[in-house]
Amino acid sequence: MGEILVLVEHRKGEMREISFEMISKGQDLAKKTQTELTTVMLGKGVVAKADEIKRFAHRTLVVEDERLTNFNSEPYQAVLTSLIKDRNPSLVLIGHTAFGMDLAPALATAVGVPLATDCYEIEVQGGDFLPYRQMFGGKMCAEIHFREAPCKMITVRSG
Amino acid sequence: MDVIVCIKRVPEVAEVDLQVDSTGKGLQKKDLVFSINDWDNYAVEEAVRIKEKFGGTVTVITIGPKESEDVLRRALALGVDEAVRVTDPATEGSDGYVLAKILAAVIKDIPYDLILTGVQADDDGYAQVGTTLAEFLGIAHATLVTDIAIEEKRTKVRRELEGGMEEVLDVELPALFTIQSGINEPRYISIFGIRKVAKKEIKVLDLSTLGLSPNNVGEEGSMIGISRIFPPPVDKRAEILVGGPDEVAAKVTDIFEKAGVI
Amino acid sequence: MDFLEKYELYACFQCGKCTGGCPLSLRTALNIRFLMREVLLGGKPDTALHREELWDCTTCATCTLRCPRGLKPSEFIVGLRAELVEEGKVPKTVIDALEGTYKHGNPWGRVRQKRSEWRDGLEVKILPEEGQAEWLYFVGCAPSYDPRLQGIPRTLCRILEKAHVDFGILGTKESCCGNEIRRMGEEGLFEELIEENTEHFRASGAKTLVTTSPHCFNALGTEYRLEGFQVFHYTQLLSELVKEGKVGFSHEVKKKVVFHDPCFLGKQNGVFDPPRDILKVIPGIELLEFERSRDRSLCCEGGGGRMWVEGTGQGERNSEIRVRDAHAIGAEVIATACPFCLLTLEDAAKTTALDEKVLIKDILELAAEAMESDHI
Repeated sequence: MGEILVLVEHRKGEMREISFEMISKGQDLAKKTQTELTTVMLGKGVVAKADEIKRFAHRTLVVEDERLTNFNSEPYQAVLTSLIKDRNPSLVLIGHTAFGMDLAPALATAVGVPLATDCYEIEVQGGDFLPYRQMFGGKMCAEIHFREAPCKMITVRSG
Repeated sequence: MDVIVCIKRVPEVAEVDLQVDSTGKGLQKKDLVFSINDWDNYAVEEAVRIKEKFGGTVTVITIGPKESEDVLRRALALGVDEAVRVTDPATEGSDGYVLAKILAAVIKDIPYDLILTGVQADDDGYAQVGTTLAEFLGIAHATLVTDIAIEEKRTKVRRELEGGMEEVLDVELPALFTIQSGINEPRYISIFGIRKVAKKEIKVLDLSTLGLSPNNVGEEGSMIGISRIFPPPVDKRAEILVGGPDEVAAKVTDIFEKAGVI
Repeated sequence: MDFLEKYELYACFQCGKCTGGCPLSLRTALNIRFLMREVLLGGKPDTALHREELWDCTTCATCTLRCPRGLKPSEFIVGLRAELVEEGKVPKTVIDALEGTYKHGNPWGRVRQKRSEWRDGLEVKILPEEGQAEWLYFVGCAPSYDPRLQGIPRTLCRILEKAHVDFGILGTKESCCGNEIRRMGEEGLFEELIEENTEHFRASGAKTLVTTSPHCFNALGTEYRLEGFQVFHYTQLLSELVKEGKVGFSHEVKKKVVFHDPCFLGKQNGVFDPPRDILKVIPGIELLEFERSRDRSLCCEGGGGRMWVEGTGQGERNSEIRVRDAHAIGAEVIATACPFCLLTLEDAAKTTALDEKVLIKDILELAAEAMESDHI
């Protein structure tokens, strides 16, 4: 099974809480599916920060470029599309944040992978990822199934 | 400035006791009151304001059964010029990806400078259709937009970020923006206003007109689907403290101490 | 018909009796005399429409009742509001109230399914599903949903039951009477409410309607133009039952009580004595009178949409003046017969810190205290 990719979110040099939550979940899912966890960080001057978190995953990928300094869905999408197509991960985790909401649906469409957004839980069942999300203002929970695909994307709700 | 707005008719769920229907994948619809998705309401208002300032036409599109025409009529009463409804029983169970695909098929024949959608829907809240649609159309997009300033073919938009922060972006048109609530104060639409547009034509399209077939849409064409819905499990960890204010304060302090918080 | 003709603005000779009697004229910029003139001279409503104080009007109708030329300044204000409604330019809180009524049948935006929950186990016949009855009790939105008020319809039902009055309710089929809706300018929605409610009235089989609120009494009685129905406010029915000996009060309520005449019951519809007749029969009550009583009753500022509009007024509210007046004459209780008066006066009792000295009660609450103990 392909690796699990976690897109690290940072703003103004600080890692955002959601990133740690996703890494933690990513570790858990990697163990359950006997695969590896890879964290991805895009930006400018982020190598030092990436260094701090490299122990949490099997590998950490850093893409450094002037154009990636601040989050902007166009260049980020271009880089990630290429990265995902190259590496063929089984799962991509992105935070369901202002950043993630702007990026994920377009990225998923560009790469051609199923996307489940704003999920509060991800289980593993029969080697497959089973996301859960809330609906109707939190009054109902829904279990989501993905179409058959080698790679899936999930945006993760913070908390 | 020609604007297209994609809107959705959703049930109101606050204060209602929601029940799962017999399929286990949806809600029992009896007694539910439907209206335009809150975010979409702001989007329509914004579109009409843009038209009032710059001229042009505003077109609203929705995907849904005949009942969905009330949200279209309301938009017409607001001052929108054209209303389009896409309908086909095969669209039942479509995910955001498919809905965006259908909308793209409608939009390819309509000239536009700007497309607006709500950030997300009150009912399923995926926040997916707008951005996916922009990708299908190959245009720039920005989400969570709280302000749009238009100058010729360029726009300056404000985006809402977490923690009360904002981002300002320069976006070239044509573009799609997903509109955040609070961008404006939607005007009231009166009953007389709706009656006035009761006879206005709503264009109804089906899949074949759009060049789509049933297996492109619905559950078949979707990338994800709902397996089941269920009420959130009741957390057993709620404890109700009784007693006078001093007693309760003492109990709370005790709990915090034991939990290592203080 | 043009605006000037519709409200006969040419006939206004600017005597000022309207503004002179307006309960908002001292607290706000609302000057109805000025507005009538402004619109007349302007030829159209436009300049008057941007005035925020238009929403301060409580539609107490003192101006209309006093106009020596028979003009209707309060209707003129409603007309201005109607123009604003058509333009969509109304305060957000008004939008919420109007949309709530459109979607859920009440301006509080509460779900229709919960409209009969005030019964709290009490058995009340739903008409026509559970049978027929002579009287249809039109409960009203506020008493149906507001916990502070829900005991009032329960008490009335118990009293009617005891007095062997054959009555029923519409249950969740009941929608807002629309009295305030029309006064906020939404004539179209008012028409729809009339149509809907009237259909249910006819299907119920009842011939007489009784309401909790004077606002519903006003709308159903004078604006619905119901044919073949009689409409009463509960104080009228209750005072009759008392006179006929069908209702008796056995417990003493030893209190000094002053009655506050609600505008929609008293000055607008001439019902002054029935509430007093009931209070006079309750043992122990010493009935006092405000100086401004009966047709001069000081409007509490709850009507005309004011439950959803804060208003531009600064300083002491009329409701606060009323509570202080009650305290000054030695009253321990202000009795009223209107849910809006009750809520507004109770708020004022809190803000004037007189809430322990002056209690606000509906006549039905006092009646309940005077009857058997297992009430409310």
